[in-house]
Amino acid sequence: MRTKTLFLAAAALAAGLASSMAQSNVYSVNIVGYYGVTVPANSKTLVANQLDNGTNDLAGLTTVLPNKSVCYLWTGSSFQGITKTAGSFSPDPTVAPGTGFFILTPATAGTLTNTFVGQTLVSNSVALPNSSLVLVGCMIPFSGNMNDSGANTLNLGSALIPNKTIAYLWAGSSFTGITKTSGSWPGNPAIAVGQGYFLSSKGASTWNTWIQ
Amino acid sequence: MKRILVASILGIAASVASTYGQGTIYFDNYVQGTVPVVWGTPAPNGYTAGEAVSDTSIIIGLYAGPGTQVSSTGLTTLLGTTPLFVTSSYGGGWFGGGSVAIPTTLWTGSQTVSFQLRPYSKGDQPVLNWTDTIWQESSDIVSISLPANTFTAETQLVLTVPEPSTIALAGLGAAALLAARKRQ
Repeated sequence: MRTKTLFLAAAALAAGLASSMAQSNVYSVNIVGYYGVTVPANSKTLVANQLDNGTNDLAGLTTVLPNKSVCYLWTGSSFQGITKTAGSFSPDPTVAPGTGFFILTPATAGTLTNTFVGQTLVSNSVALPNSSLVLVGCMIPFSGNMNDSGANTLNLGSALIPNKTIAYLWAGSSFTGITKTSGSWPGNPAIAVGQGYFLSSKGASTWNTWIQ
Repeated sequence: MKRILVASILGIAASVASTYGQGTIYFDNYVQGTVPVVWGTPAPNGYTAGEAVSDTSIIIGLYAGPGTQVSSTGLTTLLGTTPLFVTSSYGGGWFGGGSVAIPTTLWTGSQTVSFQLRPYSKGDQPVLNWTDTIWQESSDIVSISLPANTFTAETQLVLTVPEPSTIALAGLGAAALLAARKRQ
């Protein structure tokens, strides 16, 4: 009886060890996260999708928005405004990670926090063709200053062409244009997580950022 | 300062596409939600004057003209069309046509533009009448490179059905025209 009990105990211990050893080999290759963006009522807020939630459809990215909210997407030459009606957007376009867009909520909405949830990409690569104007947000939810360079930063400091790249930051009712000169951004403005902005390039370049 | 910044982005945009000199406005009465399209007198059978229009076969057109116009004849540019819709929370009489471009013949940066809403078409005839309401917008028109603002001075569109006598007269006119063509 005693032998049998010991055997069972040993077997249970072995099974437990095997199980724990097997578990130690289980790991995830995905980094999942979230961030919130404050959206004041009746004010155009320029935000960016910086995570991949799988579908990245507009309605899924902005579930907190009430009816009568408007989202404005950049078409390359103008903004397409889409109003949320009866709980949905029609059309309901895909807003890929790294894309900026405006949110306007009705005056009765109060201040909201729109939470973006999804997988974090480990690298960001945005092509800026010659004479382009693209509405972006870093594909990785980094915050920092525009002159930051290298891994784990926005890397706007070194990736873009001096004297030929302009960033347009939203100032509440209009854009403030900043030209990258002599290898740096004048004023070195701060960029928050979830912030969108225009990048314009007079020469073809690629904006890369990455996690290391 | 605002004008300088807008001019700055327009300058960049101008080299990207020539359409950036246009203005834009948000062709919508639902977001602000104060002036639904309503029926006037005479209203269709089963409806009363002042009641929000719930007929979603009605298409609304937004017309524009330069400066301050006082008659609909001065508003000849059709900026866009969109159907009416109904929601369970807010009822009928709403439309949402999104951002529409205002051509450079009407706006290049600071001009006043006159607007008017008209019934553009309807799924079943006869075509509707409307009240001749015109309003002006200026500061709410922005460059097409900015997100459009909603109307601030929009007047209410009131629809009426043509009097039976009007329809009869129109029918007589059409018949006379056909008869004249047959004779030729």
